[in-house]
Amino acid sequence: MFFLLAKTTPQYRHPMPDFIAHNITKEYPTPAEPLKILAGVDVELARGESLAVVGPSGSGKSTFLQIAGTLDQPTSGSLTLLDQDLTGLSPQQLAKFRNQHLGFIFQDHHLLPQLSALENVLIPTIAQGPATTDAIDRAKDLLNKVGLSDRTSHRPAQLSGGERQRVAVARALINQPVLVLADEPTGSLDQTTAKQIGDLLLQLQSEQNTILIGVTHSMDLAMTFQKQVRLDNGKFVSVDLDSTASAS
Amino acid sequence: MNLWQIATRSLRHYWSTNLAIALGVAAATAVLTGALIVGESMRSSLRELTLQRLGKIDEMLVSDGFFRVALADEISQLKTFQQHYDQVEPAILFPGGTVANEQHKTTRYSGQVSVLGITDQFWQFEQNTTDKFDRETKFAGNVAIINQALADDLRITAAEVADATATITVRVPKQTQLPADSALGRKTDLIESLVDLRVIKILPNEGLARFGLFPSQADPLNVFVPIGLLQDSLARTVLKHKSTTDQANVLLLSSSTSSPPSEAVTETLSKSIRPTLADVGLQLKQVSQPATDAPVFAYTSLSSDKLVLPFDVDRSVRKAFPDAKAVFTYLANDIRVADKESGIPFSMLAGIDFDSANDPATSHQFRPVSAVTGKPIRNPADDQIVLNQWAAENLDLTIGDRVTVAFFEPETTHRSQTERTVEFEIADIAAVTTPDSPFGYNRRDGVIPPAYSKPPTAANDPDLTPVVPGVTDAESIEAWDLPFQTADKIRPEDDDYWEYFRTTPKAFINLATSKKLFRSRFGNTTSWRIPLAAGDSSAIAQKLQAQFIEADAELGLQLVPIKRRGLAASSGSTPFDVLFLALSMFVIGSALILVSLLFRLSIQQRAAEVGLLKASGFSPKRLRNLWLAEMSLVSLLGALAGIALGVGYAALMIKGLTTWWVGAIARPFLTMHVSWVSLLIGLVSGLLACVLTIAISLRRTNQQPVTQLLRGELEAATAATQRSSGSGRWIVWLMVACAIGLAAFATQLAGEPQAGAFMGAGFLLLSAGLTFVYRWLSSDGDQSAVNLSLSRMALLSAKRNPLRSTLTIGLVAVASFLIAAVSAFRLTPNEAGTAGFDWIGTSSQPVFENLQTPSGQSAALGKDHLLPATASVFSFRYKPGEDASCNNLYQSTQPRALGLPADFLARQLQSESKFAWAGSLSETENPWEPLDGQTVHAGTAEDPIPVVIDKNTANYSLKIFALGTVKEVHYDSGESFHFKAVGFLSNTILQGSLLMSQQDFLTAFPEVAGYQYFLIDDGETPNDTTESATVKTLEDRLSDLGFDARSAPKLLANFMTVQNTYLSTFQTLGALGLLLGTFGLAAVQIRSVLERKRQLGLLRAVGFELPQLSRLVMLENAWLLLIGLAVGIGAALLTTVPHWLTGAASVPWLELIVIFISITLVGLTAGWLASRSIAKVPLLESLRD
Repeated sequence: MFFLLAKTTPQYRHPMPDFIAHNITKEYPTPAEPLKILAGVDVELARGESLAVVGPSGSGKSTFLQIAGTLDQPTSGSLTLLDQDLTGLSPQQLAKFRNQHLGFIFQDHHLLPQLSALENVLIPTIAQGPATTDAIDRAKDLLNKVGLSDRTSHRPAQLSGGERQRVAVARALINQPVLVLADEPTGSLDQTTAKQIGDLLLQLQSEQNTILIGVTHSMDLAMTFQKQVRLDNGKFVSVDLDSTASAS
Repeated sequence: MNLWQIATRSLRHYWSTNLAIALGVAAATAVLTGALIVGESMRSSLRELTLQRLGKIDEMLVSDGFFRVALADEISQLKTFQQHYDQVEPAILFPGGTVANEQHKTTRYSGQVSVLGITDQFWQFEQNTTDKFDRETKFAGNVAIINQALADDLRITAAEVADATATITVRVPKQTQLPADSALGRKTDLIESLVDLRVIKILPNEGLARFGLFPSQADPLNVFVPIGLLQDSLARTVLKHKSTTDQANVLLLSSSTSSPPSEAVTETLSKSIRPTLADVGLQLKQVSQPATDAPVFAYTSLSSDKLVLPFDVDRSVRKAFPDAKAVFTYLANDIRVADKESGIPFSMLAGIDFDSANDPATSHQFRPVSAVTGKPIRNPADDQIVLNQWAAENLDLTIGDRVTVAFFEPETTHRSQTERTVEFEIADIAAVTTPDSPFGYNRRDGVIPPAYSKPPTAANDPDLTPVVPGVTDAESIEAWDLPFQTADKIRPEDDDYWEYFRTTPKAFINLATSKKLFRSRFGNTTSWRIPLAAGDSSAIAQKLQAQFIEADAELGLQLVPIKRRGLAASSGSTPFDVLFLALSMFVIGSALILVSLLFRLSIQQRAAEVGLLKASGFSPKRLRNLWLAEMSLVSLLGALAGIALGVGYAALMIKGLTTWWVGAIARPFLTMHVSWVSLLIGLVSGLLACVLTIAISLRRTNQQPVTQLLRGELEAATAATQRSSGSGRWIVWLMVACAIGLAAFATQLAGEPQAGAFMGAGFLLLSAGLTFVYRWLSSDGDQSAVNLSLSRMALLSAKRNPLRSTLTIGLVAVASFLIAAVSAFRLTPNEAGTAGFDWIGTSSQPVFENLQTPSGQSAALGKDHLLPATASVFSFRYKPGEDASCNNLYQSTQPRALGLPADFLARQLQSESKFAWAGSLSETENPWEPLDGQTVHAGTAEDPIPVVIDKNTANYSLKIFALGTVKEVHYDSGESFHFKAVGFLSNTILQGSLLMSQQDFLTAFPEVAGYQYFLIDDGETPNDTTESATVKTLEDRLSDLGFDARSAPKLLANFMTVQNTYLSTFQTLGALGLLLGTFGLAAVQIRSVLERKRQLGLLRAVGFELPQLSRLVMLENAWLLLIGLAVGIGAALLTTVPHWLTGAASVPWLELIVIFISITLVGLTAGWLASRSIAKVPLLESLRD
């Protein structure tokens, strides 16, 4: 499954891409000179593909993920998902687009403590109106798939860290998104649980035929993704698997 | 699952945070509801007082004269009465009586007492049937019942009543037939005394014992006597000439339903009442001179009990009987040869047009024949006179000679008659026939006509002179009862003339000239000669009555819907709900800021949740709906608790108004009334206000980026933007510049505009201060750590969230600013409020003499009791009416009025002590100029009467807000006119009255005679003792007239107490708001500790002791509190200092210092309690989260 490309730009091209990030840059103004976080990131991915982004803290991994998830605006560059240019959409349209086509998994699961596991999974469905029976069935199915069929009515406080993150995974998939973005999905979990969650994530991604972009410090997790890149000086560079393997 | 389900779950999950918000909502709702309940209680209490005061009495038929008691029976037979009313009772009412009580050789007087002559049935009008009166004992004889208010005033005790030792003398105005201000009107012996009445009962001040014509929450002074007692007493005077002495001047009517009859019913009943002409003081007399086959004249004469006929009667006669002839006969003091000193004394001079046609069918016409030519005399020209034969012979004059006629001006001022003379040329001599015998007179039949052997002439008509009791019915001319000496001028031949001709006029002028010379405000016709063709007396009376009704003629008989008006006035002079909403504004404002702060804290706590929802595709609108759904539930619960608290808050306010703040309502009559409507309005408005506040807070939150929210950060890094923006600094300076400009402008203003301008300047300074504080908190400031101390760390913590800190500081600053600045509006009695007058006098009965002059004082007080030479007494004409001052909570529809005398206006111009003005339409420097009486106004909409009113009276009681406003007033006594506000006085002793020129006053109130209101400058050094020689003399010598004087500065202080009490209420509520603010501050601090537990945990980890951390939190709280107080008080001081320096404000420094020290202490204590919460937070554990 793994294949590497040379350190060229764009690093990843696909004959029929569903997600295209083209020459994405992100700068922040400072009193001295603008701080450049992303310096022209290019990536193309098709349904069923997964990409792990690694890099040291402050390299811009999360910034890229937030731009890819339309939670932040790039300074320049374009973003296309399912042939839809996302850079020109209004906040209202973006909210709707995110709801229909994107799923998020955060390091902090951000479950709503007042709701049950099932209700937390349903949250994205009620952004557009009351939850339908279909949505509820789908949520139950997802909770079943993440192994929490017996925990549907539990509140987050009654779940373990791993279980909460499973709920977050199910929540990310409830609207059958094209693109799932995971920001350190296993960052706050112990090693065993982290592996379980990583496996589950990829399994579901494969089953649902979605694109998965994950940001992680964990090379173990990154290795389970189809593709890996490192953010270095604001650009994607290929990961040296050998050195990585030896390092790990 | 839907939004509401999430909202419900969130509501429960975050119950502690939501509880805090709900409590804020509850506070706001409680204050809103409380204010509404206070307003409703005020209206309902006033309404209850009205219903109590009137009992079942709904309407009153009032008359300015007397009518037959039988009219009550006639009314009870009317169809409208039988359909809508159930009781009608006669009564005699004198609103301005005086009661004296002699005890232990001291006599106590009470003036302005309502004296009611009642029947036994009067008490059936009582709403509650508790026995006020022993129904078994007939109310008759020399007895009286008084109410507690009068008993207290006269110091009569229940024990004295029980011992039958309490006796009183009741003095009522002796009704005169002629207006006292007319030349022939009586001006002495105007008091009728009912002596030694035994007080048989003292009634508590409730129910009908509080009966009164005018609504007021103050207890009226009432005495009830048997109607028969008053009738017997009046039978010797005013009722002497009535067909029966069973007369009344009031009928009391009650409806058959619990509510007063509708306007239409009153109108129908009013139109169906048919008083006889005698009931309205008119009389018809068949006059004829049947000496020959064909009468010389024959007509029906219509005349008035009051000498002249009211103008409305003239209009109706002219309409009903177009052929009737008007006569205006007047008393000539002297008719003499032009160059002689005296001639014929006291002759009747008839003004009547001479008719030339000689048609027997018009026997009412006046066709005298010349004694010289034997031909009919032509109408004399304006400068001509026709003497009768007797007068011409007596003066030895003939046609073409000139005569001088002397007469008194028709109206008098201060009792002094002014004699005028007019010269006429004799146009002709009218023939008169001397009868064979003199007129006869006996008590039973009155005047008996003489017999003629030769035919009498048209000039032989004594009925050209109207009946003047005491004059026309006198046996001899010496017996004339006139207010001036006649006897010394009477010659023997004058007595002869009286015997043979009696009131037959000795001279005639044309009607127009007569009207020009003798017209008065009372009328300009003495009788009408109605042709016989009009029918007999009953036909004429019927036609006249119909015409009176059609023309809605004012005959002094009015059906007054007293209860309907009273209930309408119960809406109050001040909308108390609005007032208390305004007074409670800071508490509401503080509560809303608190709600906003707590909500922001809550949303901050849940920022990540917001971020997650946004990331999940919740649109801003949907997100807002979700929050609003949850917060609506929180607010609903809070508002429900709030209305319960509101009832308690209102109870507290009412307790305050009936105890500590009773000065605002004069009497503790207020009871609590709660209706569902008030509660519902309170609930809905509290809910809306809070949800709106939350929605506004939410709007800001919605603008935050998701990424930031996901990190749990709510506030954007706005400081950087602030730092880079220079415009904020300019705004601060601009506001300071505007404040200085406004303050400078304010020094050029006076009164409330000045206070308003200073307040505006203060607000600008406050805003500038808060903007500066915000900018300062947002700035980086000194980044060096050299000066880092605990105090500085606390300040830096406050800078962590500039907006929240500024809001908290603003909460404290605004409240402290208002508490301090409102002092500028406190009023203190000053010279401009009294214009140097020391006393205000009122009398129950009019004083006619001019108390300003020694001669007037001598006449009124006795020559041995002249006032000190330094004293000045200004007499005002006075129309009783409702007290429209701030002491009366009822809305005024018929305010009392004062006619300003010329000497008062002159003093206002010349003296240094002048009344303060809030505005005048005068085009000259003299603000009183529109009232100088140079022009007399008709009082119509086109020509309104200019009036000056106290601004508070105008604004609150009469609802007049701008100069130039024209308003119409209707008095129950029948007068109605339009007036125009041409000037507003500012906080003076003249509060509560319409002030108009004396001339306009007489047009508006022709029936008001004499002077009943006095401003007294006793010329002595003012002191606090009540012993003033001037006042003592006036009160002693005029006690029978019910003269009573009050200290002018004290009255002014009393008026000002009302406003000052409101200000105290305002300050107290402001302080309550501030307290709420300090508690809010503490709540914010506690939340802040929780929010920063990791930071504080770190400090703890690096070695900070818990007490140090507590101090840090307390210092942060103290910073916010002290900055808030400093900004607020600083702005307030800058606002009030100019006022204080100019002496216009009496800043209650001590009170303010106590308030602020208390607030600081409470605030610091709350902060200390908040800092103690640190001990309960697991700070170190939080680092491991």
